[in-house]
Amino acid sequence: MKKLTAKDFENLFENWRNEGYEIYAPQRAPYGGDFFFEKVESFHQCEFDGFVNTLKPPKDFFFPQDAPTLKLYRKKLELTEISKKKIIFGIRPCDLEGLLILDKFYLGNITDPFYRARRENTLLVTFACFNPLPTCFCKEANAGPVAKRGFDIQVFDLGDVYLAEAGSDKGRRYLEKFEEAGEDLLKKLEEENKKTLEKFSPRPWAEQNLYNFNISKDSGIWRELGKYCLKCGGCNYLCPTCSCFNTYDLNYGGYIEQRREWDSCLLEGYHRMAGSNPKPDAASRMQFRFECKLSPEINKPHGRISCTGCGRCIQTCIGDAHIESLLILMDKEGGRK
Amino acid sequence: MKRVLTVCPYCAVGCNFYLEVEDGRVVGLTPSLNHPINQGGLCIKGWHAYQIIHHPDRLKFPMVKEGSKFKRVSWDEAVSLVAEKFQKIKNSYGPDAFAVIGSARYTNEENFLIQKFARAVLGTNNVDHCARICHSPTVTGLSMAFGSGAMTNSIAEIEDAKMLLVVGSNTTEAHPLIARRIIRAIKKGAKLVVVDPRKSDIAEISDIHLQLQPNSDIVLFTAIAKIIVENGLHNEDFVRSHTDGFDEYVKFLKDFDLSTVPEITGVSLSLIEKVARMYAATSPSTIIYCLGVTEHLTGTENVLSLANLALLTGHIGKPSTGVNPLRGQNNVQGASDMAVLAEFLPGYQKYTDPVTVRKFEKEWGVEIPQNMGLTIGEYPDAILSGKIKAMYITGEDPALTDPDASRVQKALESLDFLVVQDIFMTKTAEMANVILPAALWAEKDGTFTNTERRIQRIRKAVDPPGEAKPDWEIISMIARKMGFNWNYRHPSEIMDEIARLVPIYAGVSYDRLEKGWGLQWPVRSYEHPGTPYLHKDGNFTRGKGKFHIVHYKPPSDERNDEYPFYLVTGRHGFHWHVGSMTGKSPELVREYPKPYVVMNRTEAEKIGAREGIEVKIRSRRGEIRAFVKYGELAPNTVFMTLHFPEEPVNLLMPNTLDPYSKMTDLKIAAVKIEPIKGEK
Repeated sequence: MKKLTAKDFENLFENWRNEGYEIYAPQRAPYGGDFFFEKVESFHQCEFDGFVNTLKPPKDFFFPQDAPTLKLYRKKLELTEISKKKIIFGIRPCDLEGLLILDKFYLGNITDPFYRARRENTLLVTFACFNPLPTCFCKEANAGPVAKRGFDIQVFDLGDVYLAEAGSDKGRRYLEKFEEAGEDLLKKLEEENKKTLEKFSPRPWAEQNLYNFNISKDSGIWRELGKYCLKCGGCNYLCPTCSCFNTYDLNYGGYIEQRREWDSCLLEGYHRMAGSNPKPDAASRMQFRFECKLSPEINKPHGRISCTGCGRCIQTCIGDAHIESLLILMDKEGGRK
Repeated sequence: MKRVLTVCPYCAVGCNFYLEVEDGRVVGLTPSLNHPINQGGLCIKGWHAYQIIHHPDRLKFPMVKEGSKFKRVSWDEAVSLVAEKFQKIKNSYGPDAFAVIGSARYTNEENFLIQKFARAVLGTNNVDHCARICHSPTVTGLSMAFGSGAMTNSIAEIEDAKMLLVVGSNTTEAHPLIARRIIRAIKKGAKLVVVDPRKSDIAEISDIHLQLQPNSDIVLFTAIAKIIVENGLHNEDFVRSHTDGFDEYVKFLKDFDLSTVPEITGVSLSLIEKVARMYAATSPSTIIYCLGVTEHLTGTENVLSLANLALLTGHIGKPSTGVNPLRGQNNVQGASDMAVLAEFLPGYQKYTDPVTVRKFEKEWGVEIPQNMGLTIGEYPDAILSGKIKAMYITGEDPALTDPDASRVQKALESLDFLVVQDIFMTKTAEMANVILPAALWAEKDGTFTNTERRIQRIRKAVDPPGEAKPDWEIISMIARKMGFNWNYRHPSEIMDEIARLVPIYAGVSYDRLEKGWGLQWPVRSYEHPGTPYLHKDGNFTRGKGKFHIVHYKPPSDERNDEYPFYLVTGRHGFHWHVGSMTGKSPELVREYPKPYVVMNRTEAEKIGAREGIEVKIRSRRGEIRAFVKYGELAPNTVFMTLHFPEEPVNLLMPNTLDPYSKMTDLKIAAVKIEPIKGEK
């Protein structure tokens, strides 16, 4: 574990920029004040004060909301080029875990060239969390508040000083020159991490139900959740582990542009196929979605559940039919005392 | 990446999101988590709102029709032609030979200029917009009863109501971010009563669903009023101190015969009584309604019958309790406020009042007309009889959206001169002499006023395509060409003019709007904080609340043996109006690709139809096709949405006017339905 000051980060930023990296870090948007990862030039432009997370997950960097894949001209085909080197500075552990799950899909048996290019060009600097929101449950979902893997560098912001650890060779190279953190700082970090765990809203139902997903297809739980699903797609769009996309074409006269956009499995059209729709109602689509997130069998290849406890579905759901409602309903059914 | 906070262009809830701009192109959007209305949520239409911005079909250049084809021209040529033709027609036939249609999708500033153009440049009150055929009965009815024709409460207050009476609104589909508040109220223990002929999605989550016969609202609500009064459940103190006309109303209720109610409404008296007691006894109780109430021959009276309930019980003038019409378009509230309405000057001021007229004439430096203008529903007759010679239509597609659409098309074709200003080629634009390409919401600055009267900033994220321009610039160009000194440099200057002339907007300025989340009118001065709910403590805008005696009338287009079904219309959650915007979002189109007619299964089978097959739907005015879907509706009632230009439902609808508001009888038509055999 290394010890760094703000000045050290200023130098690192300069170093990175000289290497051709674009650095993206939390900033408040003008007018609304919501947080986004924005391109910054220097460390002091980062706004970590009050930052917990962005509503839009950083999966947008690798699997964008809506982006072109190719242009088709009369006699040629032009693939969308992805060359920019990027650093995501301040990605949270829950979203990092989410990215590792996306990797299984996009870098698995069939590799997606767009995703791979973006992923290989990006350096990930995690900031461990000390101030979870009421909607956060990474603690129970085993994805935070401190990252255990997948980062190039992980930073702990202790206020007057920063601690940093490397998680990859790429990351190690940048940290080599800094001095090791002393015993007292390591102890302080341990205390802070312990305090953080106590700051989470109590969710006595969460752990048991996240890892014991076993609800029959006909359970009333699905009807109850389906009844309140208003089919906005928001939980899918903002989920750091949802990987489904729809493709469509736009005809610009001289050429056709093929694009990909985020898709939602809570939509009837997503499941539609010739003959009949195997997921004809909101209840069965709910079941499909949560099975994908929590079923031990489906998630076996990931080595973990596909929910990282980021809480975005709780924030965006307009019908209260999100994962927390599911866990509470499971709890009622299971009759936990 | 540039992120621009702006307002969703679809319904009137007024959700805010950030448009994300890279290399001059909007590449996505994110809902605002901080915003007090949508709090991190959006409906699926909102999530895809950016997809129309760079659509290849956008109109990019001014065009003039030569023969049957459009020819690209320069702005100067187009504007000169329009100005010259307008001037010629004005000189030959007088100002009332014009009709102007504004747009509920445009900003307040643009709508203000549209009506100013009609009144000050052309000199006519023939200026109207589609609020006429959605919520004009609300403006008229709630003005008569309370003094202000708008939602009495704020959206956020809904979640603290303990009883919600939702009438003629499928809130979960048409206003999902308001449905979110209703669902939160339910989860906090509130009771939900839904009044709708159809078992809609929101009826599915209700405690009581009153599945009334279409058009029988007045009978139902008068029955509720009678039960409340007869059982002494009304609020005597409130009625005595804050209302007029109570004694006459009670007399009317005494003579009202409850025994006929179940037959007319199809709802049992015991269920009606249950709802009456629940509404009267629960506090806060709130009424939420939508076009199922207003789009009728008795639209204004339907609204009044709901207002009577609030006055009887005193369920008004407090947080979370009142009468709340849900407006349908991003800025239909604002377009109404700006008086793109034949009977008002901006801010619902009357041109029958000489002091008001003088104020406008002084500001504008011209005399303004003081005769009642014609309304949208009256235009076709006026055109066909030769009274109206030219029209200027901005941001609307009356050839598809207005009732008895084939007659509207015939009228538009017979105009001497038609100017259409829009973002896409529409059915109406095809008939134009001149097409002016407009910027859309993401390409300009301005303000929208949402359904809870909140005036919010919209902000420019990208440039318009080709040579398209913001509407306020286009209108100003034509006005200048016609000799008027319109030199606005930015919409904020137009807002300053609005603030000078419109008392309910008097305290609005761009500086103030930038600082918070907008302002809710009335905002009477620059110090006034705005008004989250109206008629505080029973102090109504009109002084006292007024009871109105209202009588049931059957629909203008009645069922008979030949046309045995009532067709009622509405919206689906994935599309908006005639689909000129949502029809360009691939996920939305995939979700709901073709027109359906929803029928009771037994009734479908009786005519030899079943789910999935195509049928013809014929009314006394026309015929369209759709695919059968099963649902649960009141007996002999079928339901369709109006989202598909290729099967324009409004072709079937009658055009009979509500005498108060000039609303057309758009919600209900008698139809017959036949399976299509052997055709594919």
